[in-house]
Amino acid sequence: MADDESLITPDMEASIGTEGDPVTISINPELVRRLVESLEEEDADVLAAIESDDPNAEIPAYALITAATRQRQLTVPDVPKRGLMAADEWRVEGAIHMGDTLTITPRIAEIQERIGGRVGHSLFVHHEWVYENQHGEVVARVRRTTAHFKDKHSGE
Amino acid sequence: MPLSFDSVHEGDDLPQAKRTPTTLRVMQFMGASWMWGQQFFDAETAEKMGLPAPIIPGVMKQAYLDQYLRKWLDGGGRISRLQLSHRRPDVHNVEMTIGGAVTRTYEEDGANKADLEIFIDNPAGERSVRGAATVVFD
Repeated sequence: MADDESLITPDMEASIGTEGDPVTISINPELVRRLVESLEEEDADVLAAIESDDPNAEIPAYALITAATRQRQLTVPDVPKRGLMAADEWRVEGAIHMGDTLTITPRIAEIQERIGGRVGHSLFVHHEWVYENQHGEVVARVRRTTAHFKDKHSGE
Repeated sequence: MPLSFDSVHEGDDLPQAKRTPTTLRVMQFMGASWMWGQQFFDAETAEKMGLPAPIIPGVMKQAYLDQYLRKWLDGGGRISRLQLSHRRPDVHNVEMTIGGAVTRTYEEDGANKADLEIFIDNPAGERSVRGAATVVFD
């Protein structure tokens, strides 16, 4: 394959915008407490919220990390196996509380490629997960970009 | 005192902070998130992957930046966007420096907002994380 030949195949292009099956999770208070401890949280409001029985007490978006294993990445056809995590993004659109029930819908948001540059010919796959709460409100959009390289890459 | 929009200006540096994620804290984090990638705790796996030692999960560093920005806001606003680009691995038990700067202040949809650049540096002064954030003031 010539270096300037696109890595984006027709099947790959067709997968852009594909949504996967939604999964429903709950924000487990005990896991959030453990996460907060691991992060040595000092914010008095957060510490009060995680010990509170108040269902309206807001907790940080990082509480979503407790559901990370349910945030499944969709398979993108023809994507090179060699790859690494390049970027993460959280867009927080609503409040998150202990005990919330959230529905996570995965999506292949975008695929881009870069020809040339510091790391050579590379492909960037943007995965997105939309978190919707029990009231039907979108509370967060989490985006992860994985980078895939045509040639060996040092990870730098 | 809660940070106010009026006290924030383009070009302002945020006060830097230091964090040292110990092996114990990384293991606790992995237990709570159930993220058991071996590169996060096993030296042999890390070495096979070309890493200097077991590394800190990227989302743990993202949580550190969330904490850092909330501390800076001190209740004066909320984070609406947090974006990180992972440039280099960080390893256990090594101090990292977290910092940032205000790149833009503006009003949008009736809300006062600021865009920030944020970063994590390793002790060699190399940037391991480069990122951006948007905060919305109360």
